[in-house]
Amino acid sequence: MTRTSRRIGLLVDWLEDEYQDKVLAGVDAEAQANGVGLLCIAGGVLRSPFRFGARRNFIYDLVGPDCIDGLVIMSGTLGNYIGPSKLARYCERYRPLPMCSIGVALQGIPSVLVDNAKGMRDAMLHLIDSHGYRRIAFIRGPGVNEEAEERYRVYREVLGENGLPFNPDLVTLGNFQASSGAEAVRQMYDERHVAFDAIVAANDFMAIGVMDALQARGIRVPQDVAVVGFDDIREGRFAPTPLTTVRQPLDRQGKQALELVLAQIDGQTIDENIILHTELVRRQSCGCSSHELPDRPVPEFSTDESDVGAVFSEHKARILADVTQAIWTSSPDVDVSIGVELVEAFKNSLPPDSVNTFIGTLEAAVQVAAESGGNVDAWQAVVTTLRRFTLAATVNSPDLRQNAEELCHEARVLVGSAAERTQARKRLEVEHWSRLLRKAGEALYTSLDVAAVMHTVQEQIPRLGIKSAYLSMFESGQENSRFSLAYDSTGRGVEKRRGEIFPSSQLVPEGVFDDNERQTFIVEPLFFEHDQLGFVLFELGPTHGVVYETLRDQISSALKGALLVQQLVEETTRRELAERDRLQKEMEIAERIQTSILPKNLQAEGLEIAAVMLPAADVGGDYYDVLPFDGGCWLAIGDVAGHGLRTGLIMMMLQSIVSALVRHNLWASPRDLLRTVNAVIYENIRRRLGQDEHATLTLFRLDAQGRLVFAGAHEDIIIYRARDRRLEVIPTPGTWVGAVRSIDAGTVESEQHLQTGDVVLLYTDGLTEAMDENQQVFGIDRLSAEFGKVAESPVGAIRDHILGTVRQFAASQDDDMTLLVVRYTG
Amino acid sequence: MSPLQLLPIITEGFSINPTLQSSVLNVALRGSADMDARPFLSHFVPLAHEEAERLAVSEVIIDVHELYFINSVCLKSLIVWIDYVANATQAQRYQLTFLVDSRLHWQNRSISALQRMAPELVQVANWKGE
Repeated sequence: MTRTSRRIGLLVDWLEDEYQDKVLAGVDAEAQANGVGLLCIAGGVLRSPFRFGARRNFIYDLVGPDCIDGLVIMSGTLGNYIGPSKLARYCERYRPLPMCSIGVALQGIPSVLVDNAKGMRDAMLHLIDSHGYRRIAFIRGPGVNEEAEERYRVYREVLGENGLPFNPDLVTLGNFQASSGAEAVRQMYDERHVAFDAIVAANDFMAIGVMDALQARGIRVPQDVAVVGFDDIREGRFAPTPLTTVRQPLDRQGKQALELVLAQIDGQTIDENIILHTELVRRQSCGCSSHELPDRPVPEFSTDESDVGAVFSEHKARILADVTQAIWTSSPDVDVSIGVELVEAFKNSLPPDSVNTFIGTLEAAVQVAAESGGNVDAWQAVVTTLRRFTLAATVNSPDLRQNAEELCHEARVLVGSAAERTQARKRLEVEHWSRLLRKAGEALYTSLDVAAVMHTVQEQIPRLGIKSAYLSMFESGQENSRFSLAYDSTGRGVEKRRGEIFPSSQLVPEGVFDDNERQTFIVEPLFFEHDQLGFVLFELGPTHGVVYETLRDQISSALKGALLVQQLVEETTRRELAERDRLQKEMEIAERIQTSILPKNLQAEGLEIAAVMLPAADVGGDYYDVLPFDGGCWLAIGDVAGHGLRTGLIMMMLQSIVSALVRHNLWASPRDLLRTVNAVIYENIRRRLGQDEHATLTLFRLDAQGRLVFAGAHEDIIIYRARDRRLEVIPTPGTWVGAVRSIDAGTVESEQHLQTGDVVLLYTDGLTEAMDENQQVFGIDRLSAEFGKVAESPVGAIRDHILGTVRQFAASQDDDMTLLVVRYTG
Repeated sequence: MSPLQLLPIITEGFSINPTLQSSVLNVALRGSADMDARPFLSHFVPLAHEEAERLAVSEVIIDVHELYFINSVCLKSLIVWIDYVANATQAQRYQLTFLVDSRLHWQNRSISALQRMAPELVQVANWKGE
């Protein structure tokens, strides 16, 4: 793949937490500054034991020189379950790409690290020295996490240095999740029954879990137990008791890592790791007072009105230090130099006749804090700091003091109001995203085929503020993918490239990335349980990583559902086609059986015979036979109940048995012959085949004198009496064959005498039960009437007329039609 | 006696309505027993036979006087019913009576054939109006 602009990859486990979001923000800011593209590949924690954790790892296998020029690896989270050495070996697959690791030093890979030791030491010493805690518990991270182990090592070291005993019962293993913080509390209280006055967790999430668990037990933080975390994430700042923690510069780690990768691409050799500072952020969970006030006492001033300016000048460094600490503690992303402007504006606004510039400056600063995710309410500490110094400095200046009080009051109202608005805006923002994602989910989950899922994704993407997205699905294995969805608001026409097959290692077909515009994409794996479906690239729009994670989850589930439906439809169609094919073949065989066994010779002495059998598409079981012999002729007509091959086979049995019996005894009694047929058919159908078919059957023996002897049960016989030119309908008073073991009792023999010219009409129910569009049957009356119209005609003409009339009458042919016309000519 | 545990089946163009009167189970078949009716009838017949045995009825009247048409496949279900009774123990056997309208051609032809299958078990009676 040829590229004209650089693109860097960032391997990150997922994007649901602030930790990853902030590192991504740092990497992205640096990528923007350098005009390089960024692919943030969210492939989960390597070998994670948690459900679905490792199932998304496959996306890491697709990354390489085909799509990126360098790689930043968030090792601190990615390698939580395999450790640094295995992670380093894992990363060898990406050679010769320039790489940089964040959070964990990897052998042979430049790394950006934080000073875990200093941060943890500060935290421990603060607990011991400032608050006097002696029984301090510790929650470790995953055992192979180098950073977490470093923090644990320092915990033990500081205990020793301060003469505090190390108690293993006060240490538990965690997994960086809040749940493991809660579990640690349970273990120590319920299993180990140990007491402690403070807990330090290797990260903030576990510390928050601890605070929730303690609160649930009625244990107060910090009055009963102090809690300290590590990282300084948003959730800690907004916890009911704001969390004291060690801040690591997450965005700076990202920026620095990208710088190192770009330097390597430019040919520089990086042979040392960069270590960034960490700092203790004192809030309330450790026992410090509210609003992050510096715990140093305010010096005593003895001055008058004219000296206030001098006091501010004289103690400027001290005042600035306290104000900037208050800002830094509450709002990590606000430039603390704003503190200088604030102090200056406050000082200048104190004199009664001065212009109040302080409130405006404070309002602007608070606005920046709110937009960058700072704790606005904590800015009360800035006001408190200024007030403490001013009150101390204006003991002898009631007017100034009064003015200072009014300024501070106004400032407190401003901060309080801004905090309230910020909270409301955040709540509305959360509701907004929840609503959008819920709607997207509803639309996706109700899309039942892959095309509909793609259409829905395309519809929802712009609503979520995402400018472009490319979705590809694996094609039998992961080597190649099908470009299944392209949404691009810039109108470059990449949508037309849907359907293209391309190497998965490119992530998109060649030319789809816009080399003229720097872009950042979030690359999410699409998977459902163990099924790896493909991947999707979202151009970075919303900065909430959870948006992409939720979309990934929704699209994966919808695609899996659609694929299952597709599989089901395909399988059903395949089975239906197979069944139709089987039936078709069966029908063809049955039809061949049925028609091939029909008598070819209808010549019999003293008789004119015409016959026809018209099998229906769904072949029935009609049967007729003509067996002439010297001095007479046997006729047979019947119908096996049912359709298909089995019916055809039974019909064939009937023909064979009748034919054999007749040849054995040409002058046999039709009744006797029928009884034998029944016995054989019953045995074959019920006993041997295990089926329940039966057949109507009438056997006729006609001799040269016109004596027609018959037995069995079938349709009524219609006889045209030539001499009287009238029709007779003769019932067949027997019973069916094959239904019961013996038909002796129900089988009688009947006899008719034919005169020269008489015509016997034999037929099956396919004619009499033929239905028109109004579901009216043709019936025996119509049949008789039509027969009567042509009874003097040649037998062939009679056959054709009746058949033609019935076919014209019937809306469709649902059953076989058989007609046998026999004229006795003497 | 336990109440009847058979439900009527009503479809477009065909219905089966079982009722119990004293020790007689009445089963009225109405409409047209064509291919669409086949699954309902083949489903109903074994249930009806079981119910007749459970209730120890002396007679089952199959009222077909309003059954205007029956094809050979549906007729097979009635043959199966006769077969059930024929194979039942003497104590469980019951009389099967077809109530017919002799003006309907198929009934004359087919019900007579049914009766001749097992004349000791099957009777035919003419419907004489309400």
